[in-house]
Amino acid sequence: MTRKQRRAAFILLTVSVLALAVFLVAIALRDTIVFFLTPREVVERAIPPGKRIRLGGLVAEGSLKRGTGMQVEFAITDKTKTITVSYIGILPDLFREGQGVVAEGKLDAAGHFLADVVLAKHDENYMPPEVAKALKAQGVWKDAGKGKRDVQP
Amino acid sequence: MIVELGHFSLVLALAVALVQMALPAWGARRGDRQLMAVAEPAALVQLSLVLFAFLALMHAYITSDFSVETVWANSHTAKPLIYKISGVWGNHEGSMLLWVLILALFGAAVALFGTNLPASLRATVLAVQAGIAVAFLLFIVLTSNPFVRIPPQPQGRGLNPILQDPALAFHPPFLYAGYVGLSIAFSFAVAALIEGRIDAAWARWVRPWTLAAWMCLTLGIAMGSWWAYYELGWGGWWFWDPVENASFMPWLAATALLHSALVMEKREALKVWTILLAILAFSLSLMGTFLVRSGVLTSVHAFAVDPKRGIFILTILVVLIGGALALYAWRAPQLQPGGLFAPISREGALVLNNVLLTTGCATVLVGTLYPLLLESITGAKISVGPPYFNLTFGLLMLPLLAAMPFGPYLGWKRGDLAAAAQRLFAAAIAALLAVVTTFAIMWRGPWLAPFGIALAVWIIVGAASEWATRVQLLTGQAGRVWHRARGLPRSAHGTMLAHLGIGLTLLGIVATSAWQSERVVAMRPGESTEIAGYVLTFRGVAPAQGPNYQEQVGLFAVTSSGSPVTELSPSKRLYDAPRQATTEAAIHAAIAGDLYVVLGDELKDGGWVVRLYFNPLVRLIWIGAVVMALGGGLSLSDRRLRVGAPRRARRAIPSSLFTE
Amino acid sequence: MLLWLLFAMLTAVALAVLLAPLTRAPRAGERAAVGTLAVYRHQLEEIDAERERGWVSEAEALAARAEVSRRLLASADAEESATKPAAALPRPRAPIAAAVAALVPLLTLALYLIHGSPGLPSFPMAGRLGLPPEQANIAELIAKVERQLREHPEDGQGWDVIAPIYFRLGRFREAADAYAKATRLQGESVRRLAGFAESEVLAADGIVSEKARAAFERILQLEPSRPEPRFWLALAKEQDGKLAEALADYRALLAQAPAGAPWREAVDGRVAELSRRLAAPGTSEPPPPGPGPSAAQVMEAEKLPAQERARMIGQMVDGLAERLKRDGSDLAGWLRLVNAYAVLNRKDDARAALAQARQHFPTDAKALGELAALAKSLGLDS
Repeated sequence: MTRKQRRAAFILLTVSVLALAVFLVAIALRDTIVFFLTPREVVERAIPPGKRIRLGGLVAEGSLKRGTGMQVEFAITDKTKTITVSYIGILPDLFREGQGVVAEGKLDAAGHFLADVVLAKHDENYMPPEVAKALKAQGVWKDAGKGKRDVQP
Repeated sequence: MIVELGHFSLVLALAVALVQMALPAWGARRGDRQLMAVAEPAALVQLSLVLFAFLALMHAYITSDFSVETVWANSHTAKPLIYKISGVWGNHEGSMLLWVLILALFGAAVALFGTNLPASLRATVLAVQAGIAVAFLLFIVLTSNPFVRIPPQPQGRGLNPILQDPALAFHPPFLYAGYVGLSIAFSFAVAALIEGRIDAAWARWVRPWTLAAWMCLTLGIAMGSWWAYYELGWGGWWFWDPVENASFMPWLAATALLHSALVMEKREALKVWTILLAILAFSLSLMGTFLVRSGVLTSVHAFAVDPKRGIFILTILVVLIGGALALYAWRAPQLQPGGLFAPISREGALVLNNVLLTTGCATVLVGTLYPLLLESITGAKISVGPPYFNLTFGLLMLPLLAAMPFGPYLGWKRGDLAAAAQRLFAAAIAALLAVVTTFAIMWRGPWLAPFGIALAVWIIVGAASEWATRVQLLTGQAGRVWHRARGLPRSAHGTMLAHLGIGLTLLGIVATSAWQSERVVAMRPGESTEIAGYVLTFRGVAPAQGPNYQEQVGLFAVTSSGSPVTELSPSKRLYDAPRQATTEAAIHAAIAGDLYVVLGDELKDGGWVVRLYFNPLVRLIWIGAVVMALGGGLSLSDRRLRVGAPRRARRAIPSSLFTE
Repeated sequence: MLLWLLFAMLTAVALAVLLAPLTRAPRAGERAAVGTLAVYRHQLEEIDAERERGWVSEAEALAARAEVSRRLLASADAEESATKPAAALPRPRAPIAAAVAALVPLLTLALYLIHGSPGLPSFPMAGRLGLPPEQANIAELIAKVERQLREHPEDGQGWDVIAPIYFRLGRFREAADAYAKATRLQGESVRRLAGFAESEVLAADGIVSEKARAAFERILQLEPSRPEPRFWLALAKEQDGKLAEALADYRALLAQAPAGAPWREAVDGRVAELSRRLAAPGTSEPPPPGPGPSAAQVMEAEKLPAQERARMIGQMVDGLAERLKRDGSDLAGWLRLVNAYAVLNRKDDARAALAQARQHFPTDAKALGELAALAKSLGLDS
């Protein structure tokens, strides 16, 4: 093999691997990503039942109901629209009414959200930025991290 | 006073780093040895000063000095000592200080052990290293100063309890050692580009540093994954979280760099590529730091939600990476091309390794950055999860893993694929047997899993048999095997162990992903449930008291086919400061896998929600990583890579020099 | 003084070590190529070893040897050509050394003084002697009460004691819990309800939750003349999107406010903000950093004893001034600062702040207009 042919062989290898990768990435990005929406966006965009989404907002006050066994029901709100969520399993440690939450799952025909994953905000000073941003955009959320510190005696 | 002394020491280190950046580089340009010689004491002084600053901060944490803002915000008098210490780097400011400390440590190591390097190369490397230090010290002093004082406070706010954990206490130091260790490869690459000369010797000098960084990164990632596994209580061990990806990408790049440096060292080929890879590997580390520190990601790791810091790090990123790449674009075309080789050869195999690893790394990069990009452009928020990474990265790794055992069997320049295949006969048989037995035992599926197991067995047996051939384990006389094994260069053992480790990890991954069983049940005291052959009887829940938390401890008696195995006590903790709940899983480790129990919420009827997992062979994932790191350590101890003073040549230049 | 002495010593030692090579003559006879040659010599040895073990054929070993030898020669050549110009004559080092010795301390000092507090001694927990006694006692008190409450969670008085302390430490979630428990065990009172509700709001980062709203409404029933529940209820309306109603409530609150009430400013801010938003509907621009917590601070301050209150307000104002010194682009912050100084009767400070603020917005007509209007309303123009 000449130097040129060898080089061609390596270029061919690289290009084919890259092409494969691009192909896979394109397919994966089309099929596997999940959109994050607030209740209002879900209503406005008329998300069809069965489409997998992440629903984020605050847990509505007084909405948490425990059913039989591990059945849990609560509502996620962004203060304009509210969607009820049902979930079977253990709620995260930081799940609390009035706090930020993200649920992943799909809507049923009646507009209820069937979640199979529920994530709460991770610690006292932390809110998923997506939730904070969405709420902020609607004029609800007050960015108060600074205020807290100022309060110290 | 110690605090202020530490602060002053940190700022002084910045000034010293500036001198270390300027004088030696200038000296190297002018061929002035005196100026170049400033680099070594400067590196040592820089280390001493940063170390002093770090110890001063640690002292403030240990003595709970709440007149220091970071101590007040992240510590508490009632915290156990170990978490007061790990609290130093359990927050943004302290972790950046640790980052710079490790950077200074590596710089000083080059100054001390790099005596066999050409003087101008060493001076330039140390100057580049100092440049990185200047950027980050400036970042710390101006935007993330851990020594900022406040009026003394009576009590601290405490460390996030989820971070109060032994594995997490030591996960960041290892991870940072890995990230920052790659800065040496970066500095060497930039220095080589400035000097305009690069040869096989360069690769040998870079390799031990890369190897050390790679080892730390391997252990750091494994520790993080282990922590996530038992602390987060979801039974998972890897979530393709952006923060995990941020550490995984440099690991992939470092792995590729290790292999391409090998080609460069042996054959002087792939020079231009290796230099690029060295730059990219550290760039990915920097990007990881940026992603984690700037708070652009949705994660518990995002301590800093301060855009100013993000912009500062972004600037550092652009200057360092952009500068290095511009230098590369300018100087790399002037480098001499290297040796020739056939597509089927050791070099060819290593090229395949590099192409697949870097492409895989690129897919991870796309998956990590795409959501950020999409959001900043269209405002749509998406999450890219495991399905994406399995489909792209997972598939790309398959050919790499399948080809891996061939590599060490192929000769340099031109290899014989048929002969290599012949030698891998045993491994092929073992893989075939693995498929058949797995199908026989686990006929219920999933049907792809037996092939995954076979791939893992193929790698393990392939690595072991290559080693066996070398020491003539089966063909030679028994007495000679030990002798031969000792005669083998340590790096050969290292390669074998590292490849074996990959196989073990893969085995664990396949088994856990394919056959994990999960059950969520409501149990009242006295009730029993069954999972994967174990019977768990719930005895009840009792309150208990820890040093800085209260907990509800559940008690489960575990039996297997009638005989008692163990008792498990998962708990739910409520920490005092900050007031926060955590879930502590209870794990029973057996050879076949882990029994993993999580206590959930209390129900109205006195029952409790309990989540049970059985994770078959899951421990192999971390055992494999440790074996990989061991292999790296063994290679590092190879006398050929030892970075001490040049050994006195045992003989004159060999006569073979003139036999051409 | 001792501290500065130590700084000087540290700098001197660092400089001495750093500049030592400049005072020494370069080591003679050092050959840079040693390292490179050693690597290639090693490679040759390796090839021989591999040949002995029979891993490579004789022909392969020969070819490899030839390749390494070529590299060896090339590097020796390169080294020779590189060393020629490097025959450095001893040059004067004093200027360089002097420059370094002068610049390093200067730069260090300049950067250190940005965040450094040389006057502030350490405050380790062990020797809290330097702390004002009441603060030292707080730490102990908290620990003691916490311990006691863990053992006797039904002790309502304990919760009553610790709740306001939590609040002042910024541990709002715990404060809310403690107030709620105290209310349950000791009975309802305006103080407990107010404490609970405000902690609840601050714990939720400024959002008035259902629980907090209920508590505020209850306070109004008990004591209709209190201003702060009305403020919070108006804020809740605002957060629910009922902007017009909220604005009316704020205005009503202002109308009844005693002159010079420190919380006027917070309400004024809301009125201005809401009027703006109502005037330009449809713009979903995020509101400026919420006044919620700062309003709460002021309210809280009202309940404290006068001396304590002055201290707390003073600290808050100083914190704001400090922040604006670092980042002066926050107009709302400046307005607040000037107003606060005026309310505290620190007219000179108010004027100074006003002047500084004007310097930050030399060309911004709108900002200057707002500052002028404020100055006029506060009578600072003279």
